[in-house]
Amino acid sequence: MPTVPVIPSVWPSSSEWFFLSPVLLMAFWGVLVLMLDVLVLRNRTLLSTRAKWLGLTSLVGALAALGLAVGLLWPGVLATDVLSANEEFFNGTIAFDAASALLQVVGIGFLVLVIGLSMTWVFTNEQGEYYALLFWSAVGMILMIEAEEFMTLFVALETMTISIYILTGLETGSKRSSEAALKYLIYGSAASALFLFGLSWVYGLTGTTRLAAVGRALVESRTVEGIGGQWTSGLALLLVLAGFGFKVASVPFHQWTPDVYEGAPAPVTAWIASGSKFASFIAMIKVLMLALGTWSVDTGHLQSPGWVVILSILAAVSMTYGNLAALGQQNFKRMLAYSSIAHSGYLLVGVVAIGVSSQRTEATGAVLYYLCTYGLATLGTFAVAAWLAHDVGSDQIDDLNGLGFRRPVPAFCLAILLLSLIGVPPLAGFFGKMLMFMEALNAGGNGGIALTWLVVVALLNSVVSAFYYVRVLKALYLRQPGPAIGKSFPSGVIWTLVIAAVATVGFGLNPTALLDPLGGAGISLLTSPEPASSGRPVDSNGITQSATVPENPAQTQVPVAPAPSASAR
Amino acid sequence: MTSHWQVWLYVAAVFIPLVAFATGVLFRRWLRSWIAWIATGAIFCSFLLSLIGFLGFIPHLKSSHGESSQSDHAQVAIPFAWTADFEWLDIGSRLLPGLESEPVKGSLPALRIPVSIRIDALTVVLFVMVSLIATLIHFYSIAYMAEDPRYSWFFTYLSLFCFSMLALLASDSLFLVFMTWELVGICSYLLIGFWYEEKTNVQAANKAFIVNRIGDFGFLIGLGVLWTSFGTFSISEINRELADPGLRDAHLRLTRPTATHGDPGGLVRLSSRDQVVEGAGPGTTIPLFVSYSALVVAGLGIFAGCMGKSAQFPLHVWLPDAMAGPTPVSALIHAATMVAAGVYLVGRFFPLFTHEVLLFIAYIGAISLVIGATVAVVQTDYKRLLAFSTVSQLGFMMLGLGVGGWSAGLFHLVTHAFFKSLLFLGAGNVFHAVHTFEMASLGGLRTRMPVTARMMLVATLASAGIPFFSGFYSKDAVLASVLQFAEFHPGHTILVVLPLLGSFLTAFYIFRMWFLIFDGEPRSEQIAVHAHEAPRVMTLPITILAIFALVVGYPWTILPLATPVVEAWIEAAEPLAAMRVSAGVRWTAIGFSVLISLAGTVAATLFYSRFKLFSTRSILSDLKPLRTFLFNGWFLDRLYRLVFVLPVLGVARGVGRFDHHGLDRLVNETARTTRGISKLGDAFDRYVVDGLARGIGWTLYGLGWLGRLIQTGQIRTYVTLLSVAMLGLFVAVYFWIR
Repeated sequence: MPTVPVIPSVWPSSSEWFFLSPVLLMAFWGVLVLMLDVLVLRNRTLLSTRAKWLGLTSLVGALAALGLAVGLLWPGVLATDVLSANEEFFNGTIAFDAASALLQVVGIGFLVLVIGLSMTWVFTNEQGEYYALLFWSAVGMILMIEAEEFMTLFVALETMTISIYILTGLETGSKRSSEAALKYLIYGSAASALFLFGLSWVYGLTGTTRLAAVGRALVESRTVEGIGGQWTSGLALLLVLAGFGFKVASVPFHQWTPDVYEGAPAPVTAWIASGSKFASFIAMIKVLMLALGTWSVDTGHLQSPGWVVILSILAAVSMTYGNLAALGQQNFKRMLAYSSIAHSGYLLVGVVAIGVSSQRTEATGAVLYYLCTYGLATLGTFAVAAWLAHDVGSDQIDDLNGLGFRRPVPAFCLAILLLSLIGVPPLAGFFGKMLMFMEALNAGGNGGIALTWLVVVALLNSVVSAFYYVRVLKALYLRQPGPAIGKSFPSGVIWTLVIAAVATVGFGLNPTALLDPLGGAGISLLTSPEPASSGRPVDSNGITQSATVPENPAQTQVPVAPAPSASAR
Repeated sequence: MTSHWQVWLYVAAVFIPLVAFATGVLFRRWLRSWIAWIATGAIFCSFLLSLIGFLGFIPHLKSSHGESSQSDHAQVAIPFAWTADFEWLDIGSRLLPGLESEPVKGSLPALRIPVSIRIDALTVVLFVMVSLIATLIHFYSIAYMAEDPRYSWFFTYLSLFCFSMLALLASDSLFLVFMTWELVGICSYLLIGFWYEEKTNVQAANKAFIVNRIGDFGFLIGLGVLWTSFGTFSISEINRELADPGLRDAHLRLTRPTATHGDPGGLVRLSSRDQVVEGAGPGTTIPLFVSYSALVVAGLGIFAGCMGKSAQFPLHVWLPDAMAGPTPVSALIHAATMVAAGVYLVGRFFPLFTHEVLLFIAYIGAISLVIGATVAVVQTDYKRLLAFSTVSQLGFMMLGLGVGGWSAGLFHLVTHAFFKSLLFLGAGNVFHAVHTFEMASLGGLRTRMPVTARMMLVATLASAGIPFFSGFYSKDAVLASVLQFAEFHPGHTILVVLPLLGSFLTAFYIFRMWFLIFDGEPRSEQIAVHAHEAPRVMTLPITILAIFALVVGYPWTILPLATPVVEAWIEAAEPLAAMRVSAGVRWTAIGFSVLISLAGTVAATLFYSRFKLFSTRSILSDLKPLRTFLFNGWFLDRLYRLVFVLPVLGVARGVGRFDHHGLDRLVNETARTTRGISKLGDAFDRYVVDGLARGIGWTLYGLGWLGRLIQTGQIRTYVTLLSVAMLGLFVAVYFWIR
């Protein structure tokens, strides 16, 4: 029977606070920026001056946080034994391991670029609130990556999401922005409700909210692998997937995406598409692998009930729907929104690959690699969208006509990013797709045959996606320049574009530079902490998942107690 | 292998010109003529870095062989070097930390291409030499090329060349060597054809490229053989594995290695790499062997590449034509640096060459040296004369290396680079003043261009091998090696006769050139009147070069009593105790050398200076057939044309004709028939295939449109759809898992 979890209230040690310092700094900096705006600058200076100072302050704060995060990675700053996953930080609610340390650098890096992008022009009067919310959403994002427990995860997710709801509606004088924010809020609330409901089911089935403990409890109580015959598990799984499906914009939880992407100010859209998606996917991988790993698939045959099959179907539908819908778009941001749905589909293929691949950490590394490079490419393309919205006043693809002749450098960078999104070698997008799809085919046993259809669908979709990306390339290089184009390019946009393009080419030419650390992060991401002395006691089942990569359930033969458990029927 | 930080100096020195090149390509329009200064500054930076590196290397510049050369079976010390390895390509060996112990089933061995840098004494010296000469020539070109419409392109190409040349020197990986080898080839091609408006220049560029390609064909074969037999691209690793004193001795004795060093089946044992036996206890190894014939083939292949690049007989024909390029280019690429790359590579690969190959190298060198010298004697175009002289001098270096005088040959490379680039730049000054390359209409420029004349005289003396000028010391070292070799192997005495003849001719033709240009009375008033000394920007570099052409060969004592300083430095990198020259032989060589060069000088004086005793006209008319023979470079060009080019062209024309009359008609008839059929196909295409394709396209668009239909923008639709989707999923999953 479910027991009430006892979370020991041990005051975190100083070193634990130290690990959290980037997050704490950002939380504090949000307050600082807000206070600076409200108490010092507002009503005293012009809006543009205010925006400039607040932007600069925020940039400094974000860079400081980035510095702290990088500093934590520095060899010797954290003792290796501390960094290993055995320790439990904040009473086991937060993992601070190699994965968190590395991934928070990426997340804060995205934040820096988004702040840089936000400084290019003034789109809102509420400057202080804008930057403060950016910081707080980043705080939520990083805690979400680090969360090891459902409540922490949910609160972090909501911190991020609610901040982003408000950010979406912050554009002054834009009806679409407010409309988008409202839609996002309502849709998001529904999804959050479903998600929370799902978590409560999981809690009901296992009696704990800690990911690792949930995983152990499910392993102990299972009668079959996967969810065959257990409609309670199926219900819980679907509800949890609905929550994540909303966050990562996968079909059928995608409908907010085009409206929000189009309506939100471009930097916020970039933030949603890069940072939010990044964190959501990582949290999804953690929950699915650490907690709900048992529900993935039945041993041996991959068509059996479980989240592998459900996600495969969602992935296929998302890719196909996103790409087909993007084909007819004239609006650049809307096209990117649909393409983002399609990319969620590709990434879901990667998640499925983690579930079935015989090399889990490689598969995780591949997904993380794709997330990083896709995030960068998205930031770059939305930077162009931001420029269009600001400089040209509309964001149609036709507005890009002839940019290649007027502004060769940004146009070239954009072209690189689009080619990477298509997946043209040797750019980063190609390696990301290749590695993920390879791992999806790398399933142990006879799974290779079963998942081939998914990879085939993904590859066909890559072909379809080329059509609408190439339309943009055509506009860049084969059309005559329109009158409005190429007046000025704010430096924030150029910087973002150049950084994204350089990273895309660099990590494409030398993928190992990013893959190796991310693969290492994959190990600790898939490692659950030691069973806590105070949580649900571990029985003598002999299952120790600590400090090793969990075996593929499809290959592990764990003696299952025949006794019916609480969760079966 | 440990990495030394000093390597980064050299990496920077290599890449700075590349940055200048990239700047030139990207910002040519904005920077315009500033590119010249950027390029010059870049190579100057490289020079400073090389100088710093050189100063840092001084403590290691001690020859490691001097004392121990007699104890031939002692383990030979590997010459000191700064090294670093970089991973350029690594496919498949990526293992995550913690997983190394678990080999993945069915995985292939990794394909790794490491890029290693190795800086030893030879590299250090050559880096300083190349970057110094390149800096001076850049500086010189600023004035020389000033009026050229493609001024900035010129410097951009030069920067690319500097990058590739320096990278070639620094790299220890054959792969990288091949890449940079081709890069310098491309730069040479671009710069020979720099004035591509004239057809002859383009032809010269093509010729250079194609002839080099023939050599590179062999080079590639050598590369492939090395890769298959050694499994590595690292030059130093290959050398280390062949670093068996016994093997080297066998080579020097012109015999095959004895059974102790290789078994009778024609295998050579790799000395430093034994295969670890899988599964056996630690330390259980079996020796690895490489086939002797593979070594011969690899050596010949590599040397073929060197023959092409260093303009050795029979692939030397491109070099005289390469003089079509701007004169600074001739000085930098076709005299001092690129053409020496072949010699450099022979030096780098020295341990690889078996005695057959070494002998082949020596003979090729000797032949080239005689051909070059004889042809140079009768040239009337002073730039062509210098080109043939370069062929001859490169032959000298190859000969030195071939007979085992490793440091002698490479020492001659260094001295030659200085005096020959000086000669070319001087020639550039002369051309700048008189706008002709024909010596017949010159003369008496001594008084009008005093600085150039004096500096050229220094180079001439050095080139002729007059004592106390750098050329003397290096030529003497090569001669000594040759003499020693002939003492060991009397059967190869011809290898002594040919260089002596060559030395004589060298002194003769080089003084002939100087006298004809600068001495006596002007033969054409019209030209002499307009002649003027070059601007300071152009005289300063040659003055500096003259200083080096004078002193670079000096031993500490200046008198030829000890080993020259630069030669001693180079010796520190000697791969294995090469041949030692005994004192007696050395003095004999000095005697020969002095006599021969003085004789050549005197002969030239008697024929061409204002003190002349003989008229050349009568002699020339008597020897007209010989002169024609020599003037046309032994008719080798025509021979090649007859034997290779014309047959190829003939075959090409034949094929063309066959294509035209045979195949084309066939094709035309077929086409006519096909056209009829294709009309049908067209209809099919238009209505069925296109229809299908369009159908697919429209279907996709239609599907997309349908998909977007549900995107109403109404939040209540969305939430409804969300509920429907969830419900649908629940129902589906429920029935599925039931």
